[in-house]
Amino acid sequence: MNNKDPEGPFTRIAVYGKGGIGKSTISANISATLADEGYSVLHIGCDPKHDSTRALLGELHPHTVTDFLRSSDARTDCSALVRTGYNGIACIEAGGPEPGVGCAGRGILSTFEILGRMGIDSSRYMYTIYDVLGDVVCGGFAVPLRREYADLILIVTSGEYMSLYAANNILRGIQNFDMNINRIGGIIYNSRGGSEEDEQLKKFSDAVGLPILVKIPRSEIFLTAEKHSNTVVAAFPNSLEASLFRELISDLTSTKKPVSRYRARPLDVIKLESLILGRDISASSSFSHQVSVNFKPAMPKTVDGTGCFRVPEKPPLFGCAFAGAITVLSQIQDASIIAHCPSSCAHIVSNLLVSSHNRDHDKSGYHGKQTPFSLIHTGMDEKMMVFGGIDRLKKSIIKSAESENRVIFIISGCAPGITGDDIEGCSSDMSQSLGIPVIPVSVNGIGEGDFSAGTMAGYQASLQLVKKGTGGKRKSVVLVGEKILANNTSANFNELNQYLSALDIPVLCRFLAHTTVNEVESMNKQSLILPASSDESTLKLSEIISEKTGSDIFPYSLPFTFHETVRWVKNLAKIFRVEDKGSALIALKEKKYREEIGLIMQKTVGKRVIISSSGPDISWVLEIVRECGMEIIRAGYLSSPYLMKDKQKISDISIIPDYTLEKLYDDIKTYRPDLVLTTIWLDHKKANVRYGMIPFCPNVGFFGALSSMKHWTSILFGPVTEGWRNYL
Amino acid sequence: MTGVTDPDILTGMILGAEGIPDIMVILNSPTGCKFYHGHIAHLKRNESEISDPYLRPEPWFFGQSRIPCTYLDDQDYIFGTHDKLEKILDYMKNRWDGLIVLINAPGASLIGDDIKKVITDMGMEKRCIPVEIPGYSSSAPIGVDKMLVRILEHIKPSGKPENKINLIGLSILQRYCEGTKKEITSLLEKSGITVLSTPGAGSDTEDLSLSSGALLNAIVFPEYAIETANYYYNHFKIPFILPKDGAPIGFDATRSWIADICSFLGKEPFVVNQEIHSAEKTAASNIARINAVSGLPRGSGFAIRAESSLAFPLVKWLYTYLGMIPVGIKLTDGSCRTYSEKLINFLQENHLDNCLGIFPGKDPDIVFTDGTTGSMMKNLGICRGYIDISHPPSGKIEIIPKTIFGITGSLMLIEEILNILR
Repeated sequence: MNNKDPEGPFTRIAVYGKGGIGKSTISANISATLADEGYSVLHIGCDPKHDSTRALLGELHPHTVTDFLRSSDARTDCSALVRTGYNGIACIEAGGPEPGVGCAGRGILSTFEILGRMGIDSSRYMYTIYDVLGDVVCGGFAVPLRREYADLILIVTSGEYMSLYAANNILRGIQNFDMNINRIGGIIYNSRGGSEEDEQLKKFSDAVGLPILVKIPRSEIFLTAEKHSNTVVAAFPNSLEASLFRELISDLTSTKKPVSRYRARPLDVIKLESLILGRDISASSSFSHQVSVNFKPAMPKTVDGTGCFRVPEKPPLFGCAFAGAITVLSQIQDASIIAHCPSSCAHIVSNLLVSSHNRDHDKSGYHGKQTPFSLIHTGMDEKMMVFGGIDRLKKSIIKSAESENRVIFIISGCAPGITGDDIEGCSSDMSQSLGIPVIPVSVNGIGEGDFSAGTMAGYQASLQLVKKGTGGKRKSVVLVGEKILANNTSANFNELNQYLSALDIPVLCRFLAHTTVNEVESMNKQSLILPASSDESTLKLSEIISEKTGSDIFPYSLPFTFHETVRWVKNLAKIFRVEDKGSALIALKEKKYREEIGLIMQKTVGKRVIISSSGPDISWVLEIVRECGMEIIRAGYLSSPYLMKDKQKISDISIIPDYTLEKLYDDIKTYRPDLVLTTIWLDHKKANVRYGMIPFCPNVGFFGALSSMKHWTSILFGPVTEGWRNYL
Repeated sequence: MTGVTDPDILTGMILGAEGIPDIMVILNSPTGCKFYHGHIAHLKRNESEISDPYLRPEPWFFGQSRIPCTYLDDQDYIFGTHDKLEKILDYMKNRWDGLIVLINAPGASLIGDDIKKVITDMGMEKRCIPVEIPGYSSSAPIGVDKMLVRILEHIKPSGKPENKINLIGLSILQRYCEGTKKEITSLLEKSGITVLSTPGAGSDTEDLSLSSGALLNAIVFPEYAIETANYYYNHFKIPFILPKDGAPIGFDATRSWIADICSFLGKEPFVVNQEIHSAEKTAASNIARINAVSGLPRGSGFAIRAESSLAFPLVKWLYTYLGMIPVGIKLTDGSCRTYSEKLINFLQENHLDNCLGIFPGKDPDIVFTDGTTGSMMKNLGICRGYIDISHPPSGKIEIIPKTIFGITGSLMLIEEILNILR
């Protein structure tokens, strides 16, 4: 769309004003007057109520643009969207979703896009009038304000304070678009007839620097015309009111003396209140009436005992809660997962899940069948964005219920969070009607936070399957918090399960990894909770489960080294009173371990090593390295460009918490270690040294650390730098 | 059981732009949308830089070499993304010489931010193409196609007429794009036809500027190219060909595809036909080795999930050339109607139409699908093996550019099939 001569006559006029102020009536009369003057006019109603063109058509527009969007037949004749009204005025209504559902702002955006695609634009008409929803509540409703649409903005207001407040708000919105550009023609004063109204409006108009273009007096004639679905200009052409519109149009269309344009200069609220209501509110701490409230918020204390509150700074979110929730819930084999989202989100998360399942299957050396999972998505399209997606969600739930799966989880992406789909309500209704649990996980994409926040939401949702505490006590364990995206999850579990079988301890449930609804439900029996790791989220999850089921938490996370495993087995055996079995298991493994470590030590004693980690706990690395007789020159945690420092646990006094990359390279240069063990890529130009990677998810068990150590030992006998690095 | 959901229009638009080497996509999105696409773009562009947050600690990129993003959070959905957009554009302005395409993720597109205004205020209208509405849940090929048209509209090609053709419909989103481009270009050159540009598959903006000088647009995959073809026709009167037998997969369709292009240009594909004949002989002797012992591949079941321009020639070839039987065929969204109808007719003529619309069907020996889903199906015991024909890939590292198209591709397919079945 090209801009016309900036001096006018103006061709594209946006009419804004508070809801109910008479904006649609006034904009329809403006269009009618322009048409009477012989101009071709396009009138676009941008309000979901789609009643802007009623007075021009004599009826509600039967085909809104969003209706067209909903019907989605590409062959639909789009000329139906443009209805010819009074005196040849082309009338379009954007329409929108039903109140309370969908996203009307999205509807407006879609409207303009569809009109553009169809070539229905203002360039075919001498004048275009946009009648816009009163409250510019989101970017969608501000579309007509964009510079490629309106050349001129008129603000309709009365002299009442709330109307002026809304007008001032609109100026703030315009200012966001225009900064130093002048596009406002002035104020159309739609008088209510109050005694001080004229004076209030005058004050406002002077303060914001906008002229009052016309005063439309309060008049029954508008009501009469409305009753007949007509404009005043058409129904009462000889009336005073009609002549006022003609004068306004004469000014707006004058080429000899074009209407000036002004910049948006909104007032701050204090000034507005003071100006119009004569109230000085600058001294008060709140804009509401002061009411004493007996409430003391809990605030963290500072060192000197005073309370303080700071809004925490927000670091970037890594991944999204939507993906996190789906990842953990997909581990319940006989649960259906419905992702309420566009296809793009479903593609990303399904690829993640299937890839990680594939890798885990391949690495575990398990030759049986891979565990399937069931994930469908609602494929939110443009229609669902505008009108809401609950209908499609219900259909998806019904379809899912046809499978043999025993529970359905609904996880929401970003879009339904913005459009406001009531997932909880829908889930509750469908659960009642289908007679199976339909559990909503309203993470709303990133609404709940990042990937790990999502995993926690998923865990919490699945715990709804566990009925509180009537199950009695069982000699069994629940394994909590396995890292299901690692490629050794199954291999690690297989190893541990051997030990547990040797101790005659069954696994009641792997929460949540390759498990079933039955197993999760059976967690209502008290068992012993085995945390898979010692990170914060696993411990928190363990506590939640403990509280729900009454189960105790084993104090040791899964072991990686021989000694950790001995401690783990011994303590577990003690709890279950199978000490003799524990001792037998340890004895069996110890012999083999001693043999293997002896072989390794022949190659490693006296070697010097630097250890650096960007995140995972490295205490197991220190233990195995020391056991193999190596000298640790330095060990530290590298500060990540993205992760917060306090996530890293300092479990060994010799580990430096703030080990920088530069310091690492310096140490390598200074100390010339035989080996560096790290979690990051090292630039061979800066560090010409043999280095091995520390796995993020180490192997567990008696021989877990040893398997890594074997690989690191073999690196000691390879070249310092492999040939291929020279070509990077 | 579910496999990988097909990529949608957002992925198509991103990779459509990233398929042009001197274009960088910026995503107005949370990091969740970015990480996946950044990884895929890096892979598909065959970049040598390593993704690592320590090597690439610069803001917006989160350790990857492609697709910086505005890392939106829930507050941005309420208050808008204007500030972050300004900052990221300001950062990229002086660090990237080429064009930028700024794409809203679906959630961001609901906010209603005027991203065009941000670009204009930054003085970057010439360098930055906004995509405010990426589309929702449409097919990925449509996204590639639409993105290319947007880019061409921005660049405004002005090439002088040349005696060359454009290959359109190839995209880095497809499996084996590089190898396919190489194979098809080679076959055309052997027929005396030179390729001027391959929009979306490695041609840079300068090549695209010259692309309007082409004699003809030869469509490889119409799902990725119809709007592009229409753009060239409407603006530059460049005709396009939709080959009658679909994409050049299998000997028959390869022969047919080259013949159609040559016929339009008045060339003769002697050399290519000879090479196809020679390849057929090689293939036959290898097939015979297996067939003599087991009777295979005749009667083996296969399932396929693909666009119709690929599915039609492949199904036809597997059936007529190898005697394999389709047990499940699913056409992906956005499939070309012409080839869909031809496929349906073919299946009906051979009383095989009951397998249409189901995937993977009953007991397929081989599944032709994306690598990730194929690998899963194999692990689940649904099939004996799979052949990776679409995105996303299985995760196997690939160094030599391969293809499943043309002569080389037909031989590769036969090799894979025989190794799975023997």
